[in-house]
Amino acid sequence: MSADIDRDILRLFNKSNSRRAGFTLLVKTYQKQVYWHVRRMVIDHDDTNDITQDIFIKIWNGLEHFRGKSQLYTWIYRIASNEALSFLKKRSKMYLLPLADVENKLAKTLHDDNYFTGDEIQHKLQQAILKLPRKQRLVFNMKYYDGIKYEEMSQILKTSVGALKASYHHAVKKIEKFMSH
Amino acid sequence: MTGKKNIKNMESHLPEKDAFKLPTVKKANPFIVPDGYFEEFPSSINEKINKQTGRSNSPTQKTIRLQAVTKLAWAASIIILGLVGAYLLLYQVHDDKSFVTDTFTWEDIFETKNYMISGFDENQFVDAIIYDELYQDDTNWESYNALNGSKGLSSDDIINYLIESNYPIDIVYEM
Repeated sequence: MSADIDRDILRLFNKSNSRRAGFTLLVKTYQKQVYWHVRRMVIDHDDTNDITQDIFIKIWNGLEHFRGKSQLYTWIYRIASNEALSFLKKRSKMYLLPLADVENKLAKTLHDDNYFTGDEIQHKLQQAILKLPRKQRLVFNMKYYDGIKYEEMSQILKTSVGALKASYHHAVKKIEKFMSH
Repeated sequence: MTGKKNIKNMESHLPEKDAFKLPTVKKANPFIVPDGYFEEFPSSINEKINKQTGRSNSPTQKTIRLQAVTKLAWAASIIILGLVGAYLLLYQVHDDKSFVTDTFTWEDIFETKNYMISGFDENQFVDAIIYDELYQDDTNWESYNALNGSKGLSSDDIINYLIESNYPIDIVYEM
């Protein structure tokens, strides 16, 4: 993401008369990344929509405290990741399900999902991804779909680059194994 | 080169090479969103924020509101303390009054008042007021003398008096 856009967003946001304009620019710039990042984790569109809205409300409330120690987009990704994980955790508690069962349930809903248009291989790939532990799934999605560098991912997930590389490698192996059967 | 090709051909027939490889899957997004979703999303967020703004704009404004409430609480505390203080003060004055009336009878007080009034010459009091007003301006000395039936004294009269009374001459010259 361009650092120039981030600078423009913050400059606008930090002036009281252009705060809303700065925030609207932020939403337009990051809404798709945030949405897809969450969607790959929670699968359902309506849930994703609710979570994405909550994420941007949190960003609105917290942006004035953003001190620029990290890049704006890593900060946004961090909020989005935490919200997605938090949602899944709540969902497990709500249905009194073991953590892994939530993902199994999500995998089953893919067939009936009107907003899923993938073919059989894509469907199987999503099922394989849903079999991964949650944090490994996050790492896989961020690397495979979003193309985020390990160094940036390290800032977002507060995990070492080495651990992230190992996590991604294991995730790929698991997916390939699942897909081979 | 031919040998290497043969090895590659052999490898490609191994079962491991038949296994699924992630890069062979087209990296596509299988999910979709309702039509116009991303176009409408910024306005839906703004609506949510507007609703939130109805209660409080942002953390800064929440802080300002909190500060205002704190100031109001302080003001209320000061007023309450003031009222309590005033009540206690009045209560004490009331006590003092009762102390005075318990110690002295009303007759004692009236007697004292009459004594003070009778010991005071009303004419002297009026003269003092008039004198005080006239004395503010030196030019009114003559008016004061006239008022008191005096003919008035000139500087020469005073010097003559001092000389006749054998006052030291240097004091006389200072006049």
